[in-house]
Amino acid sequence: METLYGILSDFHQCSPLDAKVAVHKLKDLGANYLILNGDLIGEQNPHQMSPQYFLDFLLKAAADTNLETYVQCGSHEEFFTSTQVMDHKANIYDNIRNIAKQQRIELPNHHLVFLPGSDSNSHGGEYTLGTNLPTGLYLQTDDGLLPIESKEMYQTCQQAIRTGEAQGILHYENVNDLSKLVTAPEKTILICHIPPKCDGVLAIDRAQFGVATESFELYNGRKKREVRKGSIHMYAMAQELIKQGAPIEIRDENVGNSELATIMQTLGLTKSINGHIHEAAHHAHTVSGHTVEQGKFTESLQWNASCMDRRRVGILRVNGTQVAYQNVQL
Amino acid sequence: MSVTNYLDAKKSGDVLNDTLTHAAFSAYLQAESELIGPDGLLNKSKLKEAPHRKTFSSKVYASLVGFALSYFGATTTDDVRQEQLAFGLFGMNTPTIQKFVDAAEDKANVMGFDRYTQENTPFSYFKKQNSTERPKTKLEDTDADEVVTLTNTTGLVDPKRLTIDDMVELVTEYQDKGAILPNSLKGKHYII
Repeated sequence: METLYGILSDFHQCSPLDAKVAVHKLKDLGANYLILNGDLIGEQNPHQMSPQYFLDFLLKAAADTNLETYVQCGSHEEFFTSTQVMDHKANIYDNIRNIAKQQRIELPNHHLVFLPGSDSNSHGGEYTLGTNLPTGLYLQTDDGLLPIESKEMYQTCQQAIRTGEAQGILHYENVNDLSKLVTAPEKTILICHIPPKCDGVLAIDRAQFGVATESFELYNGRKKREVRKGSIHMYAMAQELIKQGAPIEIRDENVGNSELATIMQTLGLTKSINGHIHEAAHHAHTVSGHTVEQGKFTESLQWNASCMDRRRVGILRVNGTQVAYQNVQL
Repeated sequence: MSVTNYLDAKKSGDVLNDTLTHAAFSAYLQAESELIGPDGLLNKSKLKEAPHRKTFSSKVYASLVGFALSYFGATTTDDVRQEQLAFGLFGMNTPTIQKFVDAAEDKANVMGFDRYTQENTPFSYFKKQNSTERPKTKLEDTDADEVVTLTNTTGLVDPKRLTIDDMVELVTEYQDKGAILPNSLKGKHYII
């Protein structure tokens, strides 16, 4: 029996109304479940809706589809605000699931394993993944990271952040913990906002961007701000800055996460669904880099399924250990 | 009556409030999206002009009416009755909405609209009725023992001294935080 997942991610500049249209479109296309795969706060949405409200609006739209919806954070979500919204929605709607509470979903003929977070946080994003720390919650203080180990401490931390005594929270996910979550690699589909490191110009992690080769000052008509050497800029913005004489070099590289690629290889995972790299949305290939045709079932698929800013979402069809993808342009 | 009835009514009230908030946001965003230019950016300069503000307010109101008619399963085409239905859910009508847009002009935005409706209309009062006052009527003094058991406060809280408001407070804290922490019981009149 086939299971269809509607996949969405990377809500940055799009309208919350687009989000509503997208979830219903995926339902109309036959999705049995929805997966919201990170960057869900629309921090640059045209209506200036605050991130917390944007996430709230999106989750309500998903709840109204009556499809079971798995929600995970990516590069931009703040911990407390996003948790508050996700938990509130999960409390009142039975079909909304915050995957931070259950990272492994076991269905009869396949498993979903979720890995929240990102290796490049921005706009206050507090969900990070890597291999430097044990998985857990940490309070970011002037003296370094403090593990949060009890409910009492959790509440104290909220207060500490509110009063400015602490800088924020770090929700850290050690990617090597995947080995505890994956029990049947051939049946497992990894859902992670960021893609693993790949090769090739049509790979799911291929990005075009600008890097500042020197520090420089940027004047936006009101105030100056320093742009540090090594800072990364979206391609369109980088080109604009180059026109204005900024020392920026355009790069075209595979920027996926090497640690994720390594652990996937070690565990024998051959199926991953990602987002994050907007320009690579709707790219798909096998783990060895061979192109996979849309609609064709395969045992090996790496797919950059979605970028709402580009009105790209997707449908994943799962049949036992085989999967097929459908790119959907809204 | 039982705590289960209270929890069911509370959940229904929360869902209704969530749905009303979403509908109000959608109504505003829908009207605002017509001001988005081909560059993808909002151009709110039109809201400096009174006729456009009136049109804008009417569009927001029309969406609220549409929602209210659908919610109540009503088919009335009578303006006054439609307004009564919309006002009964959202505590707003065209003049209320226009008052906000007239004051804010091109500075109007959805977050400001949300604040305005909370502070200047009965919307938040209605929402409190939905999520707090109406569910509370499902509780009786005889439910105190069940509340103490549910919130794992046996031996800490004297059920005989719990009022209905105390029960609501305990259940809410238990649901929000997953436990009643000793700190939150300090100074309460019902502790043992």
